[in-house]
Amino acid sequence: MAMSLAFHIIFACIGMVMPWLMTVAHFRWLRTGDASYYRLTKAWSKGVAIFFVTGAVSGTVLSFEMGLLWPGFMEHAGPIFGMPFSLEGTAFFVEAIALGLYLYGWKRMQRWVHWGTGVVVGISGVASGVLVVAANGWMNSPSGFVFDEVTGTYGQVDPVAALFNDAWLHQSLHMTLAAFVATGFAVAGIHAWLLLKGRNRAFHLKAARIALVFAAVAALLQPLSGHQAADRVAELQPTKLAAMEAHYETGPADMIIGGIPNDATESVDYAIRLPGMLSWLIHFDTEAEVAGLDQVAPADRPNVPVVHFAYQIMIGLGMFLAALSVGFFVLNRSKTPALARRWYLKALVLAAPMGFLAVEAGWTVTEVGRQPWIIYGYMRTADAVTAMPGIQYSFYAFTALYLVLSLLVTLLMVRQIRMVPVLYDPAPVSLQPA
Amino acid sequence: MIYFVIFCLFASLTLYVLFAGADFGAGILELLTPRSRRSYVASLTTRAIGPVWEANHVWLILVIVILFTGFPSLHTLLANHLHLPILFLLLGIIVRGTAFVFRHYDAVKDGLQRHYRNAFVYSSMLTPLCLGVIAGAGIRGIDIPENPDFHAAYLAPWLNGFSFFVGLFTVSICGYLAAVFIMGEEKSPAERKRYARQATGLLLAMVGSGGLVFATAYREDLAFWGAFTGNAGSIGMVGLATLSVPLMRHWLRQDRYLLARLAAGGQVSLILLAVYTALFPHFVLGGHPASDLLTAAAPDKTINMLGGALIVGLSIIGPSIAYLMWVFKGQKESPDAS
Ligand code: HDD
Ligand code: HEM
Ligand code: HEM
Repeated sequence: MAMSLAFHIIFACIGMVMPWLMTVAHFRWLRTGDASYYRLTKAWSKGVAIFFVTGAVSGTVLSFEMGLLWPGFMEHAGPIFGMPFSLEGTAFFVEAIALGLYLYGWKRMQRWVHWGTGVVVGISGVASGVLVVAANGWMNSPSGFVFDEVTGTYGQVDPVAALFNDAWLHQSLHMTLAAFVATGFAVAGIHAWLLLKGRNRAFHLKAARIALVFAAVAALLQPLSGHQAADRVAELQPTKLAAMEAHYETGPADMIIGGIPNDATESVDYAIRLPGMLSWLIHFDTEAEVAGLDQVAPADRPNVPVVHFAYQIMIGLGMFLAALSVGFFVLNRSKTPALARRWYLKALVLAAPMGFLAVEAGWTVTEVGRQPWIIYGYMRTADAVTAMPGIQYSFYAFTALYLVLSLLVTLLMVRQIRMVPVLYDPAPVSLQPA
Repeated sequence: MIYFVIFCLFASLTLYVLFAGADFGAGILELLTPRSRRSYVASLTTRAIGPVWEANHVWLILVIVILFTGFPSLHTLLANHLHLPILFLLLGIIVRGTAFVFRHYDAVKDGLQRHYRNAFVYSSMLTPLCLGVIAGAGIRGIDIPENPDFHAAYLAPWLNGFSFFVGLFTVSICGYLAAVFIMGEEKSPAERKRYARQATGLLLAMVGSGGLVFATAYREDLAFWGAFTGNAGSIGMVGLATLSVPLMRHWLRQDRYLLARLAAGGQVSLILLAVYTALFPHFVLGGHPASDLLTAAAPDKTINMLGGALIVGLSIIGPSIAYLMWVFKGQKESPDAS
């Protein structure tokens, strides 16, 4: 499950963001009539189509997988948090129709209407993401039902309250920004690499610039939104926050950078400590008390080292990307803009996978940090698994499948990018806006 | 509201069989085509079924979402006991979708194309087969003895002749739908004739495998036999479905493809409707309380929200589809797709 989600999330991010890049390129083409914007739009719309199919297929599998692997969870959770999934279906459908119009509608629609269908693709992609993350937020901070301790049943179900649970806003916001950061830097990185190789400058410069503007704005907002997320987690899931920060003992909290959490001694080895910083970040008071892992029995704690490392990785990458973004805006005010400097292009190539790594790390924080609960405070993961014997083979099968699929898609992308110069370098035909 | 939700459940299932069925069928036809004609058929297939066809899975997803939101215990019953065929179905969907993308979009055309093709055609066959086996298992009835062993709980419900015949029936339906659908896209009369022959062959396969389904139901004295033959509505609908065949052929002969497609689609829908009518209010047969849609339903509030969400969804999607049709209707210019 985690494996398929980790795979799907990459497609989801691209599915949310690529249409926006595409529509901006398209907008530029309609405005300027510059043929390289036209080719860029075409190249990106092809990418959107590929990722759309893969996203749809991996999403179809996910919707089944939840029932196949976690029937106990779905039986209770389905009626409560099924709403966002039915709405996501709608959003996806709209996306499919709009994409159909967009891909096959060149020359068939008034050109701004045609452009508008591209915008609809982008909007419905983001809507899908927000809705599903709201469902995940419900697992983190369940609401919209009354749990009967005696019978173990979930009564007085209110799906609307479940959709607008306490975690939906900060998670959706952070995730949407993350999608722009990750996809934007990945696209910018690919085009930066082609620029370094001296290929078709006009084309790749425009591509990198569009992608980078999105990515840089999002990357600057991301730490703010992350900080707000941490605040909310401190309130809603103190154990998760304690695991993120490897904060074992309740009391004033240091900020811990790096280090190896040691569950046996309940301390963190080799860490840099900023005294009182965590208390200050959350309560604006270095002496304020922050709940530690000692509030719950060891059996009820998540895997602290995993959560802590993943959290550090996300923040580290986030800070690096934010710095690159500052660099982009500052350098652009100087005589030589950022994209004209080789070292900056090299940094972009380096940054290409970072956004996605941060996304995966962030999900690890959220998901592993919630363990041992699948519905925080109500249902344990172990109680949700299907009773079928040999179920591990199903898990292995899905995992193997997704590994193969990831390899194949990477291969396809590599082959695709290799062909870019052949397909999109200036052709002798002159192109005019229709 | 509960009846509206149930209506949506059956309607999405039917739409899935019709649209995804034609999509799978295109692969099946390619498999049935002699080697020499294959690359031609493949390019026609690609033209007729663009990447957007993958969106048809949304109907299946809708079925799943309605099941787990509205009928959670039924969903659990199916997910548990039909775990394996569902797994194979998913495998088929993944392989098919991926192979299609690769075949269509791989910028480098080389020896790999052959592997894409094989993966595409065989998974086009496997996927509806699994779908049919799952449906067959439900129609046959999911009855789990107490303290079942692995075989009784996870294999017996679907690993039997009846389910397999329903699987074959489903495969023939898909091929048939695709043949009638693609004929409208075909320009050359000779090719069109070939598709007409394939359609007839697959229609015969439908009748044959359908016959096997009923023969098995009768011989094994399945609950389905009684439910079906005892239901005048079901029998009437199958009768109507049979009547639509000559109609379809008539329109085909007159080159009125839209009408012919409608007739073929109507025929398949009527057959499905006949089955739903025979089963209702059960979704699957068998003694399990969860198999009855009315008792398995989630609390009212959830059903109402689900119904509301479906109405909102439909009222957005309906006009969009209408617009899509309007934009593409009757425009002969070759699509500038990429
Ligand atoms: C490009 C990706 C990216 C970047 C740069 C960051 N994050 Fe993040 N973070 C994610 C991508 C992400 C995510 C999309 O993977 C998560 C997982 C669940 C979610 O809603 O967003 C997430 C979750 C997440 C959570 C847990 C939320 C919860 O469980 O409810 C916290 C506290 C933070 N992040 C904090 C931060 C901070 C302080 C950052 C500072 C730079 C940061 N993130 C950068
Ligand atoms: C709506 C979204 C999501 C749902 C419903 C969901 C569901 C679940 C469930 C049921 C578990 C418990 C299973 C276990 O412990 O193995 C889990 C754990 C996990 N999930 Fe998610 N998840 C979601 C999003 C994600 C995403 C996007 C990722 C990754 C990119 C992810 C990664 C993980 C990881 C790493 C675990 C922990 C596995 C472990 O503890 O062994 N999840 N999630
Ligand atoms: C339990 C977790 C999830 C499930 C069951 C799920 C389900 C699906 C499904 C079924 C699809 C295909 C669309 C359709 O046919 O309806 C899809 C696509 C999509 N999902 Fe998810 N999803 C999950 C997690 C996520 C997450 C965490 C996000 C993230 C933000 C996300 C964002 C999207 C997006 C944007 C698409 C459109 C893909 C594209 O256009 O390429 N999904 N998802």
